[in-house]
Amino acid sequence: MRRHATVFTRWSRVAMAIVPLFFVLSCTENLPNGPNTFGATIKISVPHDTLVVGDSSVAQAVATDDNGRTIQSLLFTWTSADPTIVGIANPAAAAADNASGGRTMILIGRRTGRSVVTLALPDPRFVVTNVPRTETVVVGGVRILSTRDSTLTAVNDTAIAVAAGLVRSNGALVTRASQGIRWIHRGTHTSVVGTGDTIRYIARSNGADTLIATHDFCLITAKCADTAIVRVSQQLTMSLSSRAFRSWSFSDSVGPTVTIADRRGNGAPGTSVRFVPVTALDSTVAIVSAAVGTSNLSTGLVASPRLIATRNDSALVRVFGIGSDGVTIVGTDSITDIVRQVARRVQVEPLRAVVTVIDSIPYRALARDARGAVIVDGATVTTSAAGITINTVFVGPNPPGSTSTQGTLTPNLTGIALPQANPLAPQVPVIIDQALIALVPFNGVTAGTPVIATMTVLDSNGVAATGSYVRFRTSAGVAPDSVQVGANGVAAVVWTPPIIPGPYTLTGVRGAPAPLFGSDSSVRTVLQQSVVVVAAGSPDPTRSTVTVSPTSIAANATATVTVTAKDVSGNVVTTATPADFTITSTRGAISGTTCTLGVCTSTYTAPATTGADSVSVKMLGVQIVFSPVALNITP
Amino acid sequence: MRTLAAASAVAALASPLQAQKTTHFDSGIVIGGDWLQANELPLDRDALQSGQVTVSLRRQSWAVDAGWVRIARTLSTIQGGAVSAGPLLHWKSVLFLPTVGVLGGRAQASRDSTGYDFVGTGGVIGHQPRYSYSSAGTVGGGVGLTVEAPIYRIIGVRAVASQWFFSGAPLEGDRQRFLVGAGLSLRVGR
Repeated sequence: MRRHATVFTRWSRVAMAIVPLFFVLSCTENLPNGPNTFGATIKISVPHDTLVVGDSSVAQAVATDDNGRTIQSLLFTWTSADPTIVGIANPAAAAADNASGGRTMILIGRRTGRSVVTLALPDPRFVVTNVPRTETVVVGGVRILSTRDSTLTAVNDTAIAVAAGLVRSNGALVTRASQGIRWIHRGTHTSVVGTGDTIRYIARSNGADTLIATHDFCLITAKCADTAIVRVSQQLTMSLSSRAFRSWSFSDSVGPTVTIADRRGNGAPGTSVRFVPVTALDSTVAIVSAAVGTSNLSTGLVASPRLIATRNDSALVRVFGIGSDGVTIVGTDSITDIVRQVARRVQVEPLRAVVTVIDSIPYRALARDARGAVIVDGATVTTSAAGITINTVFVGPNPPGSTSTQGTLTPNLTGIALPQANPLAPQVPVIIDQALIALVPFNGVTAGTPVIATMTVLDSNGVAATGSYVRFRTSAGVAPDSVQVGANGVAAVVWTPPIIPGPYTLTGVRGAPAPLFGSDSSVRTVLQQSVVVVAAGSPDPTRSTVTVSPTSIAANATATVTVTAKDVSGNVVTTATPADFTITSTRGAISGTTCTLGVCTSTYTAPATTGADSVSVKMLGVQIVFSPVALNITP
Repeated sequence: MRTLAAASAVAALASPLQAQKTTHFDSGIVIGGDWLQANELPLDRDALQSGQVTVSLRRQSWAVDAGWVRIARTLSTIQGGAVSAGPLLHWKSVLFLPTVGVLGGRAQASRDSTGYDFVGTGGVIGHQPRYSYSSAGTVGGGVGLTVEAPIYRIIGVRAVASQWFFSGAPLEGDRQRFLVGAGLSLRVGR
């Protein structure tokens, strides 16, 4: 028993030594743990980054570990920055993707634009960076739904253009509104209002514009622009304010107000009007002026010519409205102009004149219309004179011995030119302008001696033409320079008559442009016509001569001494008298001096003794030409 | 496992085996040590393999064992004190000891629950593990069968097979352990 106990104790001790060793050895387990995270890279794999609206694209998320191996069975998170542009389909509806619905995702294009699709891997096992990818949603084309070629026939006409984008629907491209169509307007003939699918264009001017419907987000290979041509072609019509006109004076300009406009009353630039007399005869009644005034596009009013009356008759004139191209006739019409001069004044020209009492000047009686044009038909003017004699077309000379200092010519009008003969014309009383002829005495002017001629300057209306200029002409000699009419209507000019005695005419006319018509003297009326007789001046010793015949004379015989009195210009002074010179002889005697029309004669009586003698003639103490004359007295 | 349980039950009821002969190991105190890794080799970590040390109190027809049990697997370890009991059955000099036991101790496990699968070059499919370690107390129960034969005086050899079930969070989904091994017995007292 004791031996067994000893054995037991010994083996127990062995066992007791083994057991702690067993515990110690079991302390280090080395069970694996971790790693906490893995390095990984994720990316989005899509067939293309562009989606057509309504279309979808399968996107796949791919994660690779640090060894480049594709990690399976991950759950990704997909987000779209703008789900209204790029939508992400419900993962449950995505294509089957083994254990996770997040690997493959369907991207749906909802509307055009760009949106960033971000792929995330919210798995704490992996350290990854989110991956963004920009997806672009586009339209599959652009199509104009309205007409592609329209024409507006009036300015401010309005039409609309409609376009839509093409989107995918059940595999086909169909048009759909509100896809962000952008319009490009080329041209200036229309204005465009509005944006979006439907725009309104308004006609502004003739021509063609281009409207291009396009889209900022459009599939590259698609038809991304559609074009419509918008034409503006105004349909113009011409209208006249009146078609019948009457002219009561030459130079009256008449014409209708011409409007060339579309149905909205808008004119077109470049339109014009032409007046064309129907016949050559019509052309002589009224001439066509250039266009007058300015055109007004807003009303269609066109600057149009005027008919200027030139002859009493009736003229038929065609009116042609010409379009902007200068060729197209947009309208025709005709107008008539009945020209009938009506007298406003009746007068005798010249209105003022100065005439030597023994001379005459031509005159004419005439009637003028309101514009001063002479009425050449339909007016009979008779003239009555007072203080002066009328001889056919001349006035003067007055009978010898007449003492008149002024003659008066008064016109009298009869015929259809009278206002009362034309009831439609303005019934203005006819003004009668008398002609006043001043009568001056004979020989009132000395040859070569300046004189001052004064005149009252009237125009054809009998009004003092203050400030105007008067030009002069003379029948001979140098004409004076022009003078200006003073404030009182009186002009004065210094005129040097010719040195040769005789009748001369000094005519003054008012300076003005050439008359429009041959019969119209309204603007250059003769104002002053002076007919004067110029007489020689005083005898002059340098021009006067003396002759004695014969110069060899017997004692106590006689000879004739002839003195010709001439003025400084060599004119014989017909009014010379013996008092104008002195005649003396050295030994003989002078007697019986008489003068006739500038030639004076005296009788020389020789002395009783032979020998030399002489006759001397002096004027103002100066020997005249050939004086003294030597004489030989013979037995 | 079902085979082992059935065999233990049959052995426990096989009274004829009990009447044949007694041995040196059917009474007294027997100290045993077993290596229990036979059915789970290799152990892919540097750790003590599975085993147990027991002290068995035997009284001719029954035995009560108490000891320390370690069950090591590649990704888990369960170890703790165990108590088991069962009848002693004899056949010639061989002793059969079917037992029913309980274990109280600690369970440790690493689980590759968060690793990932991958497709490598050439489409080769692989797996990258990621282990999570956990440790908690555990209680287990099991049945076993020990076949013991004396080889020299107080020394015997024995073969052990047992099936265990454990509780504890670390062993979630992996609660069974089947042990097969061999060891030595040393009778240290009567």
